[in-house]
Amino acid sequence: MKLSNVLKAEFRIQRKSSLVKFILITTFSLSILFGFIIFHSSYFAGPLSFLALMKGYENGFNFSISLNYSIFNILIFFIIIMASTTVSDEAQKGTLKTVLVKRVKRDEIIIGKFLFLLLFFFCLIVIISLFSLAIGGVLYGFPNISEKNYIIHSSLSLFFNYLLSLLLVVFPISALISLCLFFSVFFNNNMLPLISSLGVNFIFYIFAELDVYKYFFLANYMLYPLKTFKRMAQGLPLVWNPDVEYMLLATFLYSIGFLVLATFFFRRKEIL
Amino acid sequence: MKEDFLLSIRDLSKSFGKRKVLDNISFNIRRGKITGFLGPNGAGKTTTIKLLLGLIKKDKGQIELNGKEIQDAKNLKFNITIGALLEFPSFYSNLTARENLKILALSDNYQIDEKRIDYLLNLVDLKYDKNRKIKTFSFGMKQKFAISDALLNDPELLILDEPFTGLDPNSMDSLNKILKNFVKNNGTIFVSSHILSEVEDLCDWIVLINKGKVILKGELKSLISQKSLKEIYLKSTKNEII
Repeated sequence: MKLSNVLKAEFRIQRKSSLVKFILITTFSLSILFGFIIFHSSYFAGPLSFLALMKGYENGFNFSISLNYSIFNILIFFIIIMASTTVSDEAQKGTLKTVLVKRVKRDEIIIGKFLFLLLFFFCLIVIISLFSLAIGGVLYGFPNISEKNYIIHSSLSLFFNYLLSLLLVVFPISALISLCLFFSVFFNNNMLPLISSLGVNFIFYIFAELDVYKYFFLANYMLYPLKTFKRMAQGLPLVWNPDVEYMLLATFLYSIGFLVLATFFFRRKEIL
Repeated sequence: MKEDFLLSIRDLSKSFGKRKVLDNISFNIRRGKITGFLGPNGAGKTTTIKLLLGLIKKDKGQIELNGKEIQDAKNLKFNITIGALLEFPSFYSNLTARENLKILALSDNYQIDEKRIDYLLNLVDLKYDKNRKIKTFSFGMKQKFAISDALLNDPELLILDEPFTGLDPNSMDSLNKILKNFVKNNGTIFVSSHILSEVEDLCDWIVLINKGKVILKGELKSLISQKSLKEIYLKSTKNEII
């Protein structure tokens, strides 16, 4: 069985799905709304002063990453909703049975769904980034960020760091998808895996606040790539600190670990 | 003369919790023949079919394909091309009939063959409904669509669970013809059904199951030489009310 066939099939299923349509419409509408708010907040300190994200740091990168960061916070919820129901929804509707009597292997279904979700959300973030970067460039240009005569970040360095942050964001997304997919495999209805995934992620967010244990919890790394670049774009003289290594290791282990567990349990699942 | 068994099921057992659904059942599916699988509701027919299709796991027993044991029933579909119709089939309701067949072809590791898809939809009389979404289909239409799905990969073995349910007399007749034609072209069919008249007309061999045990099996022609299939069925399943 070719994995590309599973991916093609998943693409054909999801392109007409109402959840995917809802996610696309909501994400693009919110991007436009956030774009307006960020644009106005950089000029009006009055009633929108609490939104003055960019006061004094107007540049295209800051506009783009501020918008992207806000959208990503919402996308985390969409990732949880979609990944935690991707298998259970098919089990609930009975289409899983129809597919499983075909020559597809159970592992391929899990990996196909994982790859589709990863590609879908990664592409969504890249598209929003490119559009917001283009609009940010038109509105503010891409000047070097400097303090007096000292260049903190050149525009070229900011561009490469933005690309790097977008590549790094794949890791926490893949870890989150694996975790939710694992819950999706267990249940034959949508509510239980959704509640389990939301509950576990909520607990992870609480533990990620604790200095001692935070390195073990996914929530500590979810926003890390975009948050770090956002600080760079706002003029902080940051580089990728050693946390990036912890993030790569932890999210890689989460991704592989939960993907292996999901396939292990899915192989043994009885489809009644 | 040695009989030509495509599939042999030996001492197959399955329990759900403490409830034993299949209790050491054994029977054969003959190559190029139609084997009917009969039994009252809850007898274990659908469980047997799900076991053969690898949807659930056996507790014990053997499944042999061409005399060779298949350790895990999940692997049966990788050793022989199977077309399956499950009881109450489900498809992607937001997609059209054609789109569904394309997805199912991909899941079966087949390249999408538009001509075959059109041919199969014509065959089951869904020619004018191929671009309609599945959610607009009646139960009978879904059943007909499920038959086209079962034939999609040009299978050697058809495993059908209650294929006549929900079909009108014309559709039943045309399904009967499709299945007979399939066997003429060297296909093998294992079919469960409650409609005894269809079984009598269609099947070469029958296996009768009740409360998880095979209670009767044999060639239909010799079984019905003295009694009708209905009488045999009712007597065997100890239902005296006619």
